Amino acid sequence: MIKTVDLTKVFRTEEVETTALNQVSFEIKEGEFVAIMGPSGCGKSTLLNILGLLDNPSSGQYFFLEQEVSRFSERQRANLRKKNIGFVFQNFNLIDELSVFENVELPLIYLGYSSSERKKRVEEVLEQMQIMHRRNHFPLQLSGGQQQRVAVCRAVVAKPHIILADEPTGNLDSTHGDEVMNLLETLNKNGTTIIMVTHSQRDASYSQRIVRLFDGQIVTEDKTTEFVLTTTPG
Amino acid sequence: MLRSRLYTLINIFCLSVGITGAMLITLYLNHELSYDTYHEKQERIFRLDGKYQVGGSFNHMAITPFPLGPALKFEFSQVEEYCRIFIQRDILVNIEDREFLEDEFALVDTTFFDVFSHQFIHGQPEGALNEPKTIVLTQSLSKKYFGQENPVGRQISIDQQTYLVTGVIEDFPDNSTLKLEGLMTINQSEHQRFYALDPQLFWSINDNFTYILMRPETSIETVLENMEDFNKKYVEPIGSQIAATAEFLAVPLRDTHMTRVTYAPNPGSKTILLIFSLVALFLIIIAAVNYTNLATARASQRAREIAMRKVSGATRQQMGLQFLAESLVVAFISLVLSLLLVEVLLPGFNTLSDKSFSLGNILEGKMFFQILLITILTGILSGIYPALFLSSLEPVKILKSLNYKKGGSGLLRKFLVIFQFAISIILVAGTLTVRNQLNYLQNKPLGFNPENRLVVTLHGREARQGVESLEHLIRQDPNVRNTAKVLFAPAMGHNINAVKVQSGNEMTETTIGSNFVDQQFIDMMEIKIKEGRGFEKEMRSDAYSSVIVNEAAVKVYGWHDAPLGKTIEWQISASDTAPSKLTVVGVFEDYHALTLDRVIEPMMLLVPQDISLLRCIIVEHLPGKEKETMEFLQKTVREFEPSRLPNIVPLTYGFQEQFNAEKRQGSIFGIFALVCIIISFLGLFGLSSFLTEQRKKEVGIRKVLGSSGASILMMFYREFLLLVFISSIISAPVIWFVMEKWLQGFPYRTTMNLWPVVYATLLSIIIALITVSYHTFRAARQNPVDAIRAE
Repeated sequence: MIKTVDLTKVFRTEEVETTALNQVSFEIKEGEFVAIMGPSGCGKSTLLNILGLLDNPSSGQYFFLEQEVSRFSERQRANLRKKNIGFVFQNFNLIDELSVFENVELPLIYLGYSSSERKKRVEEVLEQMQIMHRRNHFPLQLSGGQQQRVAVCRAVVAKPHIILADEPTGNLDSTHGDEVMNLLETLNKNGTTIIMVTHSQRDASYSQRIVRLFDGQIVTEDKTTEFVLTTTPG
Repeated sequence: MLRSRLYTLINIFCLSVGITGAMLITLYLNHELSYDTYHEKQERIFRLDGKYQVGGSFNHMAITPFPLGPALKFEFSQVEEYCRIFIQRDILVNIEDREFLEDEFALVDTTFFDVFSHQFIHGQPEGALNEPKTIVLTQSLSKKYFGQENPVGRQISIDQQTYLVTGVIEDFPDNSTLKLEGLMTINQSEHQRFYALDPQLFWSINDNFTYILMRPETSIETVLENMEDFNKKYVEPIGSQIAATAEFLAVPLRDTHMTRVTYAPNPGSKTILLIFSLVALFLIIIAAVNYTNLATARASQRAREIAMRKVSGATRQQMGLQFLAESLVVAFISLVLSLLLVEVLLPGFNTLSDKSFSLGNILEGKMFFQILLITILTGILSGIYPALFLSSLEPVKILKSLNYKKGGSGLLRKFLVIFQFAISIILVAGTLTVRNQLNYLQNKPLGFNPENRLVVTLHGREARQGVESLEHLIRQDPNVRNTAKVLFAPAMGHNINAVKVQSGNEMTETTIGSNFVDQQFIDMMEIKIKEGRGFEKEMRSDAYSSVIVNEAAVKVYGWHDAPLGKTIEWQISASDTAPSKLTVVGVFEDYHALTLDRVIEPMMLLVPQDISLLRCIIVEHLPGKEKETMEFLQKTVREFEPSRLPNIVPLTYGFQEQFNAEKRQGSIFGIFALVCIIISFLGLFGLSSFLTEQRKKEVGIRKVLGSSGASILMMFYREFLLLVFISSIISAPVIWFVMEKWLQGFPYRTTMNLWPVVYATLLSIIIALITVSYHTFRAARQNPVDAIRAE
């Protein structure tokens, strides 16, 4: 489903050149739940952004659903993204000015669903995540756990193939954190591929496989035997 | 303040432009309101205006009968002095072998310098005009004639009469309603035409301004109260013969400039003053609105500063004062910049307004205080809302909330933006309506063909007697296609006569405009005959017994059934040779014999027996040959009447003069409208930068979720467009009401419609889109990753 070959990302400012990812190659199969771990600044989020088609790599290849997308334009990426990927962020990234319902509805608007279809899908998912009673509230009126649940609703409402979660429990206490992880686990059981960046060993334990990054390179993989270390230090 | 440079720059620039505009307008207003106040006795001086009614026709004029002044002084002891002024145009002055054609000469009573205050440079006011054939010149005229020399005692020839120069005065100041250059004594022997007539007749001829000087401690009311008896004694004896009445009004000297009546010299307009005052106010408000908008939008950025200051012990009052002080400092910095701007803009403004202001005028006592006041007002207006709102923020809420983002009431900001857009739309639509009206005036069919026609005006009686031979000479030129003769060329004057017209079997008293023409006039001017016939060359009998009238006459006199054959009788015979009874032989289509600010009234054309009455020759030339024809006419007329400079102008000249005056006001209005728009949209530019900044995260999230750049743009556009749309709806009725009122001042006006509002709205939309696009484009193109991690 996802395959990268020698994926490299270099950030340049006027003075410094930072290599955030260094020839990362790996593969993720459909229906997997993969956690990406590593210390701060190791390139986790950069990798997730590229996998999530939010950013392009500096070099290397990225196959998304068998398609080489590393040189796609922003418009092409946006098209692919909105149909196939759902996002969950550490800081929820809900739009404060929109109600719970409207926030969850957004991806469907960009996919061009009719308003009746949108209403049906949004209510379905709100019901499923047990946040229906908050549908007319605004994000700032909700607790962190509730906000993240809304964010998960938004991520799954368009029934994407993949969910990318960036420290989904980072801003939550353990009770709310477990709640969100259970949600993700359930989604994975129902067939959604999940890629999650996390610091937390506890969260990582929900995954089937852990990819560890250090200084922009994959150093180990846990739990599975399929994963083959393919990076060569540059 | 220094931290956000764009913000401060926009504020200072907008406030400077606002203050500059307000300053220029204040300068103009002060000037307009200062007319004639420089005369020492101005509070005791009044101009007499007359409301004259002859038959059914009514006229309010600044001119009066010749004997009015002396009669008033004779009847009322409160009247200390009178002074009459006859304006003289086309005066030929000869000094040795040089000659000049002067327009700003006047015949005045010997009392002129007792009533009005003028500084003498040479000679003295006492007795300067006592002797017949004396003249006092202004400084610039003296310089033109004699250079630096003191001309007192020199002789000059005026219309071939010798005059003695008895004094030189300073030029009439800019704020003088009358701007004369040469003052001549009313010389009775030169005006025999008056004295040869029955003195009673004077009361029926209005052609001079009458000013009176009241004695100190007396009231003009005591004179006006007794005017009924006065009229009975002086006006009625002749008035009753011609079914005429007159009512005299006293206009305080300082109000004469703002009095718009027929023949008022150099009249100002109260409407224009009002509109300009409003525009000045708009400028200040719009600039202040920018300040307020930007300040509240920026509140989120300053919230932490406010909180920290409050935590450190600042009270709400102190914070409020800090914000007011900030806005006042910005206003005063803007004032300094404005003074520079004014210095740069003054020459252009002077050309536009036809005045001669200098920076010195602004720094003079009264004006200086007004400017300080404007600046302080601007500062307070700008700072008041931020002072009240920002100072009220509660520190705990700000510091606790990581997400303090709103920056005050978005609703107020929307309201203010709507307000700005509305003003801009109103001003643009106003400018467009003014333009429409000007275009209408410019293109209005005049009822005759004004193209390719020049007018030669002859002045001397002798020259006029030979008008036919001059016409013959002119016709020899190959570029000349046709000629015709007339007493008054269009837009250059007219006569109004008291007459009796046939209505049913009776004769009713009324008035009618009249003009003398030759037999070619109708054909040559391409005026259409609606009924009957024009004048025919062979029918000498037409002269002074047949008339043709316009459609207005047919309508007013109720002659729809059969106008031909109706009779018109002169009320008083202007000349013994003229028969008193005229027969209508034709009806011509209405044409504009006067400028377009006058309604077409009943009028008759007749052929005079005395050909010398026809002092204008209208010359039709071949298309594209105006220059050659003009040169030929200059030469020919000069040879024909060597004692005068030829007076030759295009036939449209009089219309164009009036049009130019309207156009000037239109341009000033348009420029200030433009300034208002620039300020509004600069404010919008600043505002959109803050709003897009505030919504950066939202844009990022939307993009992550698959929104395209275009739909992000649309999201921003939609909001601003909604505001423009609301503004447009609000401004439409205002525009309609104000412009309809303004148009009513024109007897001939374009029809009011909503197109100007539509165009102004479209223009606002386009400019608003361009303005907000800069920031929204950047927001829409941003990498979403940056925004969503910005926390």
